[in-house]
Amino acid sequence: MNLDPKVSAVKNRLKQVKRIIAVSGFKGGVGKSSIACILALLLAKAGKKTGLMDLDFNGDSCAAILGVKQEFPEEIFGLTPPIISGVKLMTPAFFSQKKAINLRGAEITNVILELAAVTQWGELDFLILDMPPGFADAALDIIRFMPQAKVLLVKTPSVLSKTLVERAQSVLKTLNVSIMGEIENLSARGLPYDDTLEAAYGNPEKLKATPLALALEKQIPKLFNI
Amino acid sequence: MHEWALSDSIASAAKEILEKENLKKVDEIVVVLGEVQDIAAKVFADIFNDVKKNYHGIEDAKLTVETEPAVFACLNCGNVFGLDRKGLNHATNEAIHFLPEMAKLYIKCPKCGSVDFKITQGRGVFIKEIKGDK
Repeated sequence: MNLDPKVSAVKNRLKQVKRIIAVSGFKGGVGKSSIACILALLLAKAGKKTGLMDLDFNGDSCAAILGVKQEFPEEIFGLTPPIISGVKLMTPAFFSQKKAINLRGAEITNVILELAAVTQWGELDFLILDMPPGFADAALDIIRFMPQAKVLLVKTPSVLSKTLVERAQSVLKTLNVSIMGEIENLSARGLPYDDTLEAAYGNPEKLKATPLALALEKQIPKLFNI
Repeated sequence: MHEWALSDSIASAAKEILEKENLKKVDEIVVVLGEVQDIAAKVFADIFNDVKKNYHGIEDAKLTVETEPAVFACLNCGNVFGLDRKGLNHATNEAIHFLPEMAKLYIKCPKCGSVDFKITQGRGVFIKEIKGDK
């Protein structure tokens, strides 16, 4: 038989999560992780129970963006994520001791499943997923294990980003994945290029006051209908 | 405790099989615990025997636990080797306990020193067999 029980457990762990938002750029360097982290901080600031899961295993950066230092999940009926500025955070950084995560596709899937099967989020209004770029094993498996997730696309005005997002939209359609909205980053029309961001990384309070966060905050009511 | 979530996942998966295969009840579940994840069989069984009470049709299931040694295969030189915890500190053992694949961050092939190897056996927890009444 050789049945992996974790697939069944993931559903149970997400039972009290109302909305799962997969922040995905499909291309590296579009600001997806920064937006995922700031979005989680802003939703928590707005009084929403919010979790953030870093699933970009080869480029995990949520811990660095939020300034996580010695925190480690508490072991109670699984793993309870530490709360960083109001956001429950789960990241592979808790287990990697600042080493590069040299895992192959199927191994990343196993780790994502393992983490999702033992993480006790409790009641959440929003679980924000910082997705890996592209459509490799990890992205496809996340979509398979968390079919209720809706995708928030992050793109830039660059034709390179736009082309990939257009292709991604067509793949998502065939997979029956809902796209809840789009954010244009590094753009005069959307979220601005923000040269204060670099100095704010590692400090959630400073991040929430950046021009990018203030612009994103204005988009939240329309994006999430709240 | 972390073992609680793993035990619960076994009961939950068994319940899904029970429903899918129209079993009246599950009589026995054979679970394999891999050496890499380092789960204490006695602790796991004790927790499972408590957790199973929450799942109708699984309450009377007997748990049989088998253990499986770790086997790694180096993708660089082809060397097949086992798990040597010598030199691994508590934090590292904990990381591997929670996420077995993280072993690749802390262990190297003893022959060529590569970190590009795969776990071919003894990774973690899986269900080998479920026996039940139709």
